[in-house]
Amino acid sequence: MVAEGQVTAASTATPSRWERLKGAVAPLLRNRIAMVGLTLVLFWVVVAIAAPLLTRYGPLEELPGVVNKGPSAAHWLGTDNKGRDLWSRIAYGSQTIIVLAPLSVLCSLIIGATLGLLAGYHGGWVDDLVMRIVDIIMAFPTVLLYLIIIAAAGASPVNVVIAITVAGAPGIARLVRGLALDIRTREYVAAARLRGESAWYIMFVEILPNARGPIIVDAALRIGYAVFSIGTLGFLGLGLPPPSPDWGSMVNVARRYIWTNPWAVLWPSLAISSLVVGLNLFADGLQEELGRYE
Amino acid sequence: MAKFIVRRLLLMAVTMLAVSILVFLVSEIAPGNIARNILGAFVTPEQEKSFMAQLGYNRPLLTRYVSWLIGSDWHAEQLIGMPLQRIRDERGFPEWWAVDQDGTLVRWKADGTDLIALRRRPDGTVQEVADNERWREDASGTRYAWGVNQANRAAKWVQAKPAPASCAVDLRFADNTVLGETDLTDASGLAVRANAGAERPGALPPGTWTTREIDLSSLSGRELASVQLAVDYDAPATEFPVQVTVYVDQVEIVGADGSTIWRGELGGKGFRGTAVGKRGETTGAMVDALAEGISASEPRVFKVSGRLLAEQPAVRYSLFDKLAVTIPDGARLRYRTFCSALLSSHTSWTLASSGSGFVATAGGPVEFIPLSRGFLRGDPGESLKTGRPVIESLVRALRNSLFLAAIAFAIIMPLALLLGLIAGMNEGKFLDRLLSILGLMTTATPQFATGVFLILVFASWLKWLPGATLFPSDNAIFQNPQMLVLPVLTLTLIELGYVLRITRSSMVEVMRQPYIRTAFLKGLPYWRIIFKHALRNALLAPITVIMLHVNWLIGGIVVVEAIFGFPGLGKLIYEAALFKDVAAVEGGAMVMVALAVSTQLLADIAYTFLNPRIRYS
Repeated sequence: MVAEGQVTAASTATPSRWERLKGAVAPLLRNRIAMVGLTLVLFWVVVAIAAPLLTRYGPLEELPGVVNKGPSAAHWLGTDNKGRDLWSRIAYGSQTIIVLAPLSVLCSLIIGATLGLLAGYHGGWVDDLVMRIVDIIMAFPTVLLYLIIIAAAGASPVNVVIAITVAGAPGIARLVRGLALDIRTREYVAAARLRGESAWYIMFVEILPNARGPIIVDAALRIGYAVFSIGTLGFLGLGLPPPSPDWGSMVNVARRYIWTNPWAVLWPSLAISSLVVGLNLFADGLQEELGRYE
Repeated sequence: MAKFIVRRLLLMAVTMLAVSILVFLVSEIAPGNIARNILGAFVTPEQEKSFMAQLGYNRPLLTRYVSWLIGSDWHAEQLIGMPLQRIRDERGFPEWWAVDQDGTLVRWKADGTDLIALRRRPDGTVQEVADNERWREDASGTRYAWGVNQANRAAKWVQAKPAPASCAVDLRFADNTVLGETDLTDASGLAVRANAGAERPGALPPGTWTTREIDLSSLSGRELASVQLAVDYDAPATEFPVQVTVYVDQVEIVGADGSTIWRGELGGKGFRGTAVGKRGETTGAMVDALAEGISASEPRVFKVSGRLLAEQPAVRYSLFDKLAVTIPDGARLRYRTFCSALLSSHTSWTLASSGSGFVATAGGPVEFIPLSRGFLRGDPGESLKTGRPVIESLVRALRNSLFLAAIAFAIIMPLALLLGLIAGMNEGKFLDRLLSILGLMTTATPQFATGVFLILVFASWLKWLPGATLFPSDNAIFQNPQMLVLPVLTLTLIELGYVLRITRSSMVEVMRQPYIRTAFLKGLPYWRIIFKHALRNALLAPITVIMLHVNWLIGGIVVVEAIFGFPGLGKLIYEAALFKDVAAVEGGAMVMVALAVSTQLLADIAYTFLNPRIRYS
């Protein structure tokens, strides 16, 4: 009963959740760059969800007699070196990317934000330790980190997520630490401390929500970078093992037949570029709007 | 300033030490399939274990790390009691030798119960001398000796102990035709060998054959048994070479209670011997079925089963399921079986240098320390792929990569700064929007996609430039500059956008500053404001950001080198990672991280130097 009363009081004092969301999204809808980006991203999300409806062939179906053919009425984007329909492969390939990229960013966000909050809120030796670890991992060029992790652990979707998490978490930790250092001096944090709240409560309930703006923009950029990384890993033969329809590995395989069938190289490259450009445009617009708002 | 630099250098050293631990741990954490990678899928667990021991992977992690970092030669010198020296053989491969008191270079090998010293004469030839004085005795009475073996490793030999053994073979076909019998007991040596033969005129009976048993019950320690089947063929007076192939299907060791201890399924493809003979000669093929006993005391039976296949021009070709060999009149086939067992408490598998596979030796070394000088002394180890020191290919690859990066850098920087300034001066106008969007697109497109697009346009469609780089010699890069165009262009497109956007936002910010407005209000000419007041401040941020961005550029170089086959550092690490060439991955990764970290250090110092607010504080 007490809890219910609190909720009602809170909802009357501030605008409703829906209104607040509308207020945050409205300027974004007016930002043309963000909208172009969002359209590109939504296109691929729709393709990923509706892949079975949008394709006539299976992604692994090897059709006889149509090896390395260009676009035609039967095969909109052509076929690859094993006679598989390129559009089907790209459509189904979008599913893995649409799932793996946000998932790996979420993982790095959880680890990075926790480390950053610990370092920023506690300071002292915790801060020193966390920041040294962060420095060490950030000394590695990202691709090199991927190479040695995947070489040691083997190529699989789980290891791709692990590699991107390890490479991404330190950057987030550094960002969150900086924000936490600033926010922990605010009055409401001091008030929470006086109330006798635990350190975890202050970190995750008081500090984290108030640092969300820059974290969201950063995460949006990171999803773009994760797509980029998954594609690169696939291209280097370190991503999903064949014959799964992975955009990067499609480019890698089709590269050997580039003189006979350039289409098989072109389409997956275009797919991945458009998705990354879309995510980047969206993140850019988001940053512009949030910057203006602040 | 000096204090700042020293502090940063110390911090960098600490970081690099931590990086080296991380690189080492990650790349050595799962080295289990190195052996499988190099030796193929048919390697037995025993061979794999022995191979890993020779590479030093059975040593504790900390010892391996120390060896990798500062070398293992000093430790080996203590064990051997002689200084070690690294020389190069005539093919340029490094060789480790111990130095005797009189200055002679010495290595060792074991032969039976003897230790043989190989003494290198000044002219390069080697003299073999028995050197049994080197055997020491440990507390349990085992005689051992430390020395340098012929594979550049410090090795600990244990003197083999003779053991008695018997070995019996009963080889017969499915129709109960006895092929041969052999029985042998040997109490003296390290290896017993027996052979029994049978002669048979005419054709070989069809079907499979089985050896009944080899009783190895009295063998001690870990031992090795082998059964060989030889088919001799008296070639008639034909001109044709003769080839006989024998396949063995299955090797099985059965315990006394009939349970299988070890079984190798070979599917007709496994152990296979071929021999080619000429007219009038006797020719034959042998098959070795090798297996290793598991425990010492148990009696066991060694079974080999297989099918025969003969293929030769004189004899009608036949597949091994339907064995029907007909031979010309007057020719005779002979069958012989061998039984041999290698008896020693230590069997060592050595990979033969000729690439012919494993050679098992009794009384071989039981412990190995691969010799190297260590990463810090310029020797990050030996490549598993090439057998050469990693440092050689590393230096070459680094030179090529730096060359590529330098050209790309020289093009990217002026171009990107110029375009960024132009965009920044025209903030919000069409030109600015265009440059910004183009910059975003080139940066956001993955490197491999950019590279592939460029190959499509310039190599596939316009046919202007080669789509891959091929370097037959070390200096080919400098002779065929057109091969560099596409890699450089790809790198340029990737980096250009980023630097352009940074420069643009920096310029926009500077142009909004009050002192620029003041300059305009004073009525100064536009270009004078840009060059005298805005430019220097606007370039401060991009220069450091670019240097901090070097990790990104390195990542781009890795991918670009992989696309175009450019023989640089990135390709070296990439291929080493795929092959699990641990030493090359570690060496390459350390050099790459050192490059990245030192560039960032330079960026920090440059920023401090350029920014008066920090310089004078």
